[in-house]
Amino acid sequence: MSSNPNTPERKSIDLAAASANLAHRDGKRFWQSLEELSETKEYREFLEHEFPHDTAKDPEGIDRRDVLKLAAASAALAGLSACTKLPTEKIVPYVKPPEEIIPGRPLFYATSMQLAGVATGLLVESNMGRPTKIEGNPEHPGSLGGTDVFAQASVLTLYDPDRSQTVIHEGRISDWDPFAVAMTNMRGQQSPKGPGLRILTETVTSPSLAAHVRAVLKQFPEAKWHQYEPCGRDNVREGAKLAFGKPVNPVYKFDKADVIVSLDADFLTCGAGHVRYTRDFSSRRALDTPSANPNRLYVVESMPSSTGAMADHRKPARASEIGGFAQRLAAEVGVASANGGGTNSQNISADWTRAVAKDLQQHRGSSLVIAGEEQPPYVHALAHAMNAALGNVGKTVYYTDPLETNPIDGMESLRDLANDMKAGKVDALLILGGNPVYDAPVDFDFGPALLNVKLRIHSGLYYDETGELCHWHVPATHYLESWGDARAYDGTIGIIQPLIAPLYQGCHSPYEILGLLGNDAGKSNHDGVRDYWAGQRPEKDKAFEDLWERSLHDGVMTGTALPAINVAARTDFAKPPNTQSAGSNTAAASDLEISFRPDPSILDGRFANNGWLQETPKPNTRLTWDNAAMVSPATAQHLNITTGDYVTLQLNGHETKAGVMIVPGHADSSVTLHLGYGRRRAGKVGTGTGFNANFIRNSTTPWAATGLHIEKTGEEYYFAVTQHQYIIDRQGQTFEEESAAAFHRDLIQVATLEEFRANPRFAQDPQEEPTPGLSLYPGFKYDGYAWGMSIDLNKCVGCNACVVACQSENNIAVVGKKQVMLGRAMHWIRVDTYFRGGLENPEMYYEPMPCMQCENAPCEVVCPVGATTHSPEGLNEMTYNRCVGTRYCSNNCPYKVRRFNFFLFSDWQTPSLYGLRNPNVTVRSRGVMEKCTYCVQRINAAKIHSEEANQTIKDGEIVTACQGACPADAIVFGNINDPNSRVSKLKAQSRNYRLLAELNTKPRTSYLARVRNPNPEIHE
Amino acid sequence: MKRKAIYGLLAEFETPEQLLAAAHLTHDAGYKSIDAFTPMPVEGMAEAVGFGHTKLPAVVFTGGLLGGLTGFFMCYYANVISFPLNIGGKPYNSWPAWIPITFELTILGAALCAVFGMLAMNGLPTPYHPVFNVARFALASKDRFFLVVKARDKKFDLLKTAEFLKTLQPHGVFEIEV
Repeated sequence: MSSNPNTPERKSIDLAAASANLAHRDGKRFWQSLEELSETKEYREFLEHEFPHDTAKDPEGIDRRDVLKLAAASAALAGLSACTKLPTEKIVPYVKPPEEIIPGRPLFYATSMQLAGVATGLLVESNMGRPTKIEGNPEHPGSLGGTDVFAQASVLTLYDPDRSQTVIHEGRISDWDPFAVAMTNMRGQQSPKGPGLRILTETVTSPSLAAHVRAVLKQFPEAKWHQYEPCGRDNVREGAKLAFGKPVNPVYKFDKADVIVSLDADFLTCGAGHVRYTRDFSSRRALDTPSANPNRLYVVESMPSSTGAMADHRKPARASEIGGFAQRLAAEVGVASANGGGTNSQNISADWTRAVAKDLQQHRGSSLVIAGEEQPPYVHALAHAMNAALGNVGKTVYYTDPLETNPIDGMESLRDLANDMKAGKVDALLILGGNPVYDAPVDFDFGPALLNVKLRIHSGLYYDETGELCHWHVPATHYLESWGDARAYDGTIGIIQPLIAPLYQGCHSPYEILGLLGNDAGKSNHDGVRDYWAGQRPEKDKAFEDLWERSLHDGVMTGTALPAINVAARTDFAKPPNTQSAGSNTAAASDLEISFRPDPSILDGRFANNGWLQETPKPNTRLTWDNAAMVSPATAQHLNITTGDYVTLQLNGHETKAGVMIVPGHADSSVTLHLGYGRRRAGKVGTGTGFNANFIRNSTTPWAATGLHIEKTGEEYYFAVTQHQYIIDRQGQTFEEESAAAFHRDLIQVATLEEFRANPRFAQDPQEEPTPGLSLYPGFKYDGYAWGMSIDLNKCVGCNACVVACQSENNIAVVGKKQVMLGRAMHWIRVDTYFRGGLENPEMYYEPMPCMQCENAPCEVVCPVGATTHSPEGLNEMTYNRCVGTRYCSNNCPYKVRRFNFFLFSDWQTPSLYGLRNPNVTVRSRGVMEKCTYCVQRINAAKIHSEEANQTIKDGEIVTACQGACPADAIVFGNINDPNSRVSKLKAQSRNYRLLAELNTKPRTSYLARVRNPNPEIHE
Repeated sequence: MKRKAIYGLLAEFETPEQLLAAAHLTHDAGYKSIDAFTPMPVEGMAEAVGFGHTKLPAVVFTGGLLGGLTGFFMCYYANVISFPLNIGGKPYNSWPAWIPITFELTILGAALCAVFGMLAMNGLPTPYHPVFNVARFALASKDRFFLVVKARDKKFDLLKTAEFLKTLQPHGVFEIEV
């Protein structure tokens, strides 16, 4: 496209103009945002200047002149304070150094992290006793070496200065001992049966923790144990009950599935086993040769997700319409009882459904139907019935006993608790984790009900909304500080072992709190877990000792995966039960629907105070620091709202306010509002970000409800969206006519499988390749190591794990919402999102962009001080000490991957954050440029190690942070001078292409083009 | 009494025309080391005392050459020998990048040689000059014109040269003591 300077600049998105612009284009061209299509003023500014608000003006109102004035004033005062004598502080070296610690060399320990009770195995890097970086545990079935954003960012939560640090009693600082006394008194009051005692936990898969709770329940037989998880697996569990008559845990084998149908299931970004599922899924997308047989994914969903972006065929449908589609599909694949039911979504034609069904039937035993955790139980039951009808059970899916030690419906459990509290039946409530005052559905009136309880005890990482209302608040230990155990998605037990003693004296694990109520007060967290397993395992004494040590070392207890059980799917459920009012497909299409989703970056709000996650651009929308009322372009037009409108959302007499965001590809007549935002007491980072969806979330319709009413307030809301920042501008270049053809090539290369087989080299354009004589200089010779990277766009699911891993490894600062709006986010790797096709259902593509490490780096030649130079191994290096901040390099970088510290973004003041930092990476100060280094610290560590051993570095010995974190195995790094290295082999593939190769920058990072595998019988 | 050493002979004239004619004659008579002092510039005087060819351009050229080479090899030493850095994939010896430095140092070398070469070849600065030992020489900045024949001239002979100068009808001829 070419920008016509004569068209008027638009302030906000103009959907009519965007559609017109799209109509002008050839349908094959890619676009990045609605702002681009409607050519808004802001988009143009970002297009023309990398940092459009370049005047170093602080949005807080301090400009350069003010800084000079202040500097002069403080210089005048500086003399006054120079006479203080600093106190003497002695340091003492180790007299007996701890075993195994070699200063400067990190140690790795295996542990597990739970989300909604499901564990992902991790290896945690410990530098001199400080956990600093999370890696996946290759031996853990839930990880296989990959991780997700949550695991990567969890280390920041450990060091979060806003974590609660002391026991708090009625708002005042207290201690563990008075709390223990209070618990003893409470035991006395509740004896002997404890009818008024309630324990509320999150989902518990930990056998040892459950044993502790049960010990308390045994002592107080009338006490009750409730479990609640705002984004839990209630529907999965209830769906399994519906299908099999008992709760079972479905385990999927995506590596065995040729055809996958996802019914609103975002199985690549959240939910049980998503890290492993991503690995399995992407393993079927490796296209080493044109004859490879990739899987095919159909997705029907309301909100465009990462999974939707990976789909070969995607249909937007309202959450409530998916049940209807599922029923139609079930009827087509031969689930007898599904016949006749289900109205289909307007978007989904009968032909389309039939074609999907035919594809499934052609792949009996190698297909898979998966329902989303937000879909009502009967959709899950339908999916189970379809898998049974297609002969997939035992092949691509198997069932085990539930992971939870006490599988109950969390929503009903919390409802019972709320009712009991309102009825005054609860004398003492022990809340172990979770934040129900914030995240309980609005109809429970949980906060007011809680105040009826005579003794309220809360244990959590933060003194949050719930802690505030409780008599006692006990800071919980972070998982990196405590012992425990948890089950992976397949049931494998992973031992959680602490990397560090609790940072604050007040922190206690739930084991210790339950110990006060049971009979083992004073028993340590470690003994609580270990003694449980010593009692459970058949191995005794020495044999148990060996097993225990091996389990700690490996991070998994071998052989504890739950075995597959034989269950027969019933089919008589299939008529949608009338109780499914939310999922009922009788709702008129004109009724506005709202669907709630766990936020892709902060989930249910538990990570709200995590700056890394807040600043991670969410998949597809690239929104940071906020959630939004997301609507489709057509619905926005219909309701006369647009991005940035501040609206009131009313549902069943409750209301909340939110900013509107138009999302191409969203289902019509539907609004998606992510959970987790609008926190009142999250901490310095999270408080006041976004909008609270729980204000209108109802317990009977927790995921989707119709009857939403939207009203404009007339105010505007500004989002920090990175989608139209760092745009690679090709418009100015079109004037160079001789290479116009090359400039018209897209930055992302996509073909269908058919096209790929016909022309395996579709991604390369001989015209684009620079001719050998283009440069007057001979090329630089790289002998020895030559580092390079290959990114497989066919595998990348856009999960952002690389972004957060890079932030963690390289001490990258968080800049805050306002600075993000100015285009100053510091991420060294970003995930560019491209769209193709119409606004109603565009194809979506991801392209991770680290530094390309160009051999002919344009940034280096413009640096007046030689601060950015090339290493003999081909790394484009920054020397921070030499950088004077001219920003010429950034200006000259065609890929826009350089980041400038406009202010002192790194937190140099907060002591708790000192522990977080990677000691091998400089913490940058103000005024220096920074960028991806291919994790040069890891390269050098490996080189030193190999030189000591007098060997060369083996392939795969160096793993960059982004590569290590990638659950999809999409990023491969290595020595491109070694023809046998993995990266060389990938670069030799026919799909390999380099970005902007025509500029003769010779990028070391190259891409493997995306290949879609559409169903030839579907014509769209 | 010991006679003082003689720097040369000074002939005083009343008009520039007389001096110009006298200078021509003296030069033609074979005296090469002569000099003239006038209150104002007199056209043709420089040629008349035989002041034609100068070696200064050669000195300036050499200075420029040395400066340029210094600049280039300084860059070469820094970028290729002492601290080679690969910048943008260019060879260490990427001479086009050094042209500004080379050019600047060429100019610097030439300019310095021009200034100091000129001064050195002119014998400047000269804090003491024997002509001032002749009291009447003070008139050189008023209304008299002087011609000096230096004693270091090969043809110089105190008596013969004085005789010769007198033939030029000067206002007076004086011995200049060193």
